[in-house]
Amino acid sequence: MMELEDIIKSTKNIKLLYVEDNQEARETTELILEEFFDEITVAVDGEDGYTKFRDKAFDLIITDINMPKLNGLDMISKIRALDNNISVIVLSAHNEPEFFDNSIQLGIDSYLLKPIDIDSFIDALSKITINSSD
Amino acid sequence: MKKIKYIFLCVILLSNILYSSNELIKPHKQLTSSIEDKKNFLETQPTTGVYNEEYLTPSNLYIKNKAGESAVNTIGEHISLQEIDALRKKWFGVDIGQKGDYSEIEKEYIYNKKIIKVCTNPNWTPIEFTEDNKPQGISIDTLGIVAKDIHLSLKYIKTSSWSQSQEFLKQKKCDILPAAIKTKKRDVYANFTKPYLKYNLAIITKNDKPLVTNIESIIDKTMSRKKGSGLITKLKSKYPNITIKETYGYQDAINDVSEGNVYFTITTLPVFSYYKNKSNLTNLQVAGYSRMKYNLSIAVRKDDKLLLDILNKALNKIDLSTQTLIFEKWTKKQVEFQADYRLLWQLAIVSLIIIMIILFFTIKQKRLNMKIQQLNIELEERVKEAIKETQKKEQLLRQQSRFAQMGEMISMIAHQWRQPLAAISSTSATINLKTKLNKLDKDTALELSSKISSYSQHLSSTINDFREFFRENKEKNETTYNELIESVLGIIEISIINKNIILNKEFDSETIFSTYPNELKQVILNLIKNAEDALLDKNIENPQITIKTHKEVLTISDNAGGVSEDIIDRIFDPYFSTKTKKDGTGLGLYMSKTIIEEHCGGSLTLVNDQYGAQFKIVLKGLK
Repeated sequence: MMELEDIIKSTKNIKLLYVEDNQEARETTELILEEFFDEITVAVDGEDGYTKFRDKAFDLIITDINMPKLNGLDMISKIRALDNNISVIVLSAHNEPEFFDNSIQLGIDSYLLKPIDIDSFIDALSKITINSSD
Repeated sequence: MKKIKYIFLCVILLSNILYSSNELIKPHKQLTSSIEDKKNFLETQPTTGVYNEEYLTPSNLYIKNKAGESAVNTIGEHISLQEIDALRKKWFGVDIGQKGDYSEIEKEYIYNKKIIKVCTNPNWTPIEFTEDNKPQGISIDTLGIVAKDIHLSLKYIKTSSWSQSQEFLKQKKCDILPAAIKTKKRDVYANFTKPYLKYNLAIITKNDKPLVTNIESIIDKTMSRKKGSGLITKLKSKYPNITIKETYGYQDAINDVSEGNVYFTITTLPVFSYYKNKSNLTNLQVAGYSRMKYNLSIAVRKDDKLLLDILNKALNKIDLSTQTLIFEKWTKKQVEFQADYRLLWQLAIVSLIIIMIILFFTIKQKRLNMKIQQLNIELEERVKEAIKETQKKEQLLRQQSRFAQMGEMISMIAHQWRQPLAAISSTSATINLKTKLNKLDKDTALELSSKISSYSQHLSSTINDFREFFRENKEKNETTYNELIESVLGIIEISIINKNIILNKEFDSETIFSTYPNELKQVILNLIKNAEDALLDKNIENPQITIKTHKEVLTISDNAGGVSEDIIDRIFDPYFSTKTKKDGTGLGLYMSKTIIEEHCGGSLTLVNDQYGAQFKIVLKGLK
């Protein structure tokens, strides 16, 4: 496993789209994300996320699933139509196998459960940076 | 009680029957005793003479002093008959007849005669017959009176038949025949007293035959008559073409009519009455009377003219009342007595039947009562069981409802807690991360720890809210719809919003209610959850729940399409659920209706509006 500092070094330049409808969740999670990413764009629901992705280039999407207007999985599905290679980490409170299966089918990189376990999150990030460096 | 009543009834009935039977028996007893007296009297008469004491009877005295017979006779030559009579009267207290009834010659004859030998008809009931080896009947009683009057002993010569009796008279083996009809044939060997019994001969037919005015009208029909009867000869000479079936006895003659073997028989009324009653031949009638009379006289042996005179005199002295008495003794009374006896039996049988019927019904009633009692007991037990079962069910229902509520509560707590827990977790992860990177300064640490503390506070207050919400509070309090709804939304709104359901609030009621707030809150919560479930179940786009209040009315509606009309009537029934999810117990709406209508005195109804279901609570507010 890479050193934490090395990972942060490699993630600092990644442009992140973070989609979360719950404000409290957004604020607390951002405290963590700020340590890894210099450039974070926040969207408040699926539709907002899709619009923001369409307007700007991103390297990584971290999204919730259960959101009003457009849920996380539907949003990913729509984004995949625009960019098939974009890396996605799902951060969900749902642990139903159905969501998990759908997520795999959409070709996501990691599926993490809320609340965030910091080691799992770092592990997921390290995989992405290795892939992107290839 | 009923049993005693029936027994009492039976006793009264029985005593009545016994009393009436006694009443019936009484005359019979009197009659029999009088008959017995007379019989005894008649029986003693022939054997002991006038006196019961053997040695005092003149006849026996005479026999005992047979040796002195000539002496008396010799004395008699010197003493007049009157003197002898007076002497006899003085010494023996005996007087023959009434003064001047009999001539001296007759009296002398009687003294010398002592015994009259009598032959009878053994088989002519009730006129003359032999029973228990003793001659009885009307003629015998009449003869008894005659014999008493003239102080003569009667000696009955036993014969086997009427023919033999007649033969014996012919041969002078007996002196008289007590009852005989004067015929030319008998005139040869007998003299006849004047008739003392006169009977019209009755024509007897079956009672379905027409009445007859005279014998000529039915002379072409067959008749029956006892063999050897003088009447047969008489009839045959008068009607040469008549067909007569000669029978062994009177009974057979009458039976033949009853059985239809012959058309009629002719007999005297007493004979007919006697046999009719004896054999209970109810199908017979007296169809008419022949012009022939049956005149009964005492036949006396031809050579004893003196005896004939004496008997005639004695018979003359029998008055009408005595004749009637004798006649009635052997006919009418007997008939009556028998009828009474039968009546008694009939009464007894009828009573017995009545008693049996009463007993039967009593027993039946008793059995029925027992059955009913048993059924009642069974019914009671069944009712008790049913009540117990209902109570059990009710208890189970409450328990299930409570479990369901707890499930809901846990689910709601989970929703409420998820976010603060996630926040705590994230904050702690941040601390972790910053420490690893040596970036955790004092200010950051304090900030993060205070955040965690505030999130924990949130968790704690949520628990308090729930505890308060689900606490059983049986006290009435004053409250408003707004207070109630806000309290409910405090614990459920997040979960609704989390499910992306839009909640519309249109509050326009300031009415104050005195009611049970916690129970009402549970109903409101339940109705909102119900709407939420319907929206999620049917996967409705843009799901919405609208809560409206206006004065005393609170409505909670959704846009889930409503309840289908075929089940809308059953929606408040217990255990009725349309929910596909496992947690649908079918109790929520039932319990809600119970709370609103039975505890709070309001009403809870459901209608479908254009978007979906609309639940309506109406409570009575304070003025």
